[in-house]
Amino acid sequence: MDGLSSDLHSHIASMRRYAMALAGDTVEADDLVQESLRRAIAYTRKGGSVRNPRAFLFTVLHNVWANQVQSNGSAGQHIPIDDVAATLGIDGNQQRQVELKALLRAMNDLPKDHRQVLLLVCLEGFAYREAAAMLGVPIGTVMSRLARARKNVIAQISAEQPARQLKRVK
Amino acid sequence: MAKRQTSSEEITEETLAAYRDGELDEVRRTQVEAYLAANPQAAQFVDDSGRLTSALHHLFDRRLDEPLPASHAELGKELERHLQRNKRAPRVRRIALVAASVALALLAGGVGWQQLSNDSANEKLFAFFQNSQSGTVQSASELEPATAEKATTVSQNEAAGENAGSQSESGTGQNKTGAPDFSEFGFALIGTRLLAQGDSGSMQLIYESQQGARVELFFNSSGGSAGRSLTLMEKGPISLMFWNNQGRAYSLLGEVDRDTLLNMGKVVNGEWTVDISGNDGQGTSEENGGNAAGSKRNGQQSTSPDGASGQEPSATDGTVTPEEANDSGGDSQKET
Repeated sequence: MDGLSSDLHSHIASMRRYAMALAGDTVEADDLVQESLRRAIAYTRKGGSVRNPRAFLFTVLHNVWANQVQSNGSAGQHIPIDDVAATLGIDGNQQRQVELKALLRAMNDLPKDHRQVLLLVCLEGFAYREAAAMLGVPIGTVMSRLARARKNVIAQISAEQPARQLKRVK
Repeated sequence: MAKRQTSSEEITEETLAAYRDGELDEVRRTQVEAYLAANPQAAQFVDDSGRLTSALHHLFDRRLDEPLPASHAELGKELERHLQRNKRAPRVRRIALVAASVALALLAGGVGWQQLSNDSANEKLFAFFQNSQSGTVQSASELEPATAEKATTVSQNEAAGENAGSQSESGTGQNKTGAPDFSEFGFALIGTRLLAQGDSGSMQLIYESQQGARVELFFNSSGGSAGRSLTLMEKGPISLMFWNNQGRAYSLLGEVDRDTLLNMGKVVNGEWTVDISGNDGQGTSEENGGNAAGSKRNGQQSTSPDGASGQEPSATDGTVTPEEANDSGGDSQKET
């Protein structure tokens, strides 16, 4: 193993999943996680208290991502869907592959703020209150972004595949 | 999907999403379930939302099974060492140092409340920060007895449990004590105290997030200057804001970014104008709540400290990155 406690290993693995979903690129995602870990170390080295390491790490990751997007306006905006699909190893029958690629496209088309909330809540399972604290926005904002993100993704997938809407996978 | 009206409250897509995510209380869930039974389109939205979640996991979960890159594992080990060390010997929180300095300024004769917003008082605050950052905690140990001696804790952790356990769809409303409600920012009230100061009183309210971040609000009913002013500062991971409003002085500080602190200030300025003048320092949370409600009923108006936008303080400068990502020591200050 990697010598980490199972909790921290799990947190970092989750960060890698979230970063991949957010950035859509493995190299960028790994850089994002690496920089986040560095900043987390810098904070804790100074004696900063951390009550909830998972929420703390995701807050740092969010901030690093936000800084990168701010300094590079194109970050996360041009994700090559086929490359990502290959990286993720999308498998299953052709229909499922089409559906999942449609999902990737729909995610890619979301405003970054909406994509973040959707991933934090739906993929990472954070409560609204936790997501709000991480993003520094009111809970009401989390709720509205999440509802709109879901609506847009579902609508886009349905529009691409009118005969077969989003199907349950696995 | 259009908004629909039930006998009680409107059910929107946000409500449906919150239902899907398990964020509603039992009463609200029951309302939504009745609504879904009669609205197939809404039921389809909830169903599709569940499928979307499953599809996201199908796409990305395999990352969880990959071995960590060596660089991530090495950084993880270093982080783990620091986390464990800090857990064994937690240092005095920087926000506690700043809060203590504010409280001391309230109680000390030499530094009046309204002076907190001037430069010399700021330097005092910053000195505490500097001591903290360099690992010197003697300032805190000197301060804490001074504040504790004159402070009276009047309520502890009652509202915190309720706030933490409930989900507010609107994100608005006051908590049990009538104190400003920061639940929409993820902070619950965990304690209040009155600080004796001559004929008037100062109040300290302490909020905490689930992640352990703190926000503290100080209020003095008669220490503010007649004019209007707003001072906004950042020092490392902590943001501070001082403002006067109709002769009252407020100080808000917290482990949040500046924009969040400003929004919290708007909540304070918009809904809480409690008057604790003449309080003997033995007040109760019920008194506080009553005053707060009364001031709202009386339609008491707050004046914008920046004199520009009605009742709320505002700032026009850029976004400030929150604490952990911005721990490089960059400080900023804005005064209006």
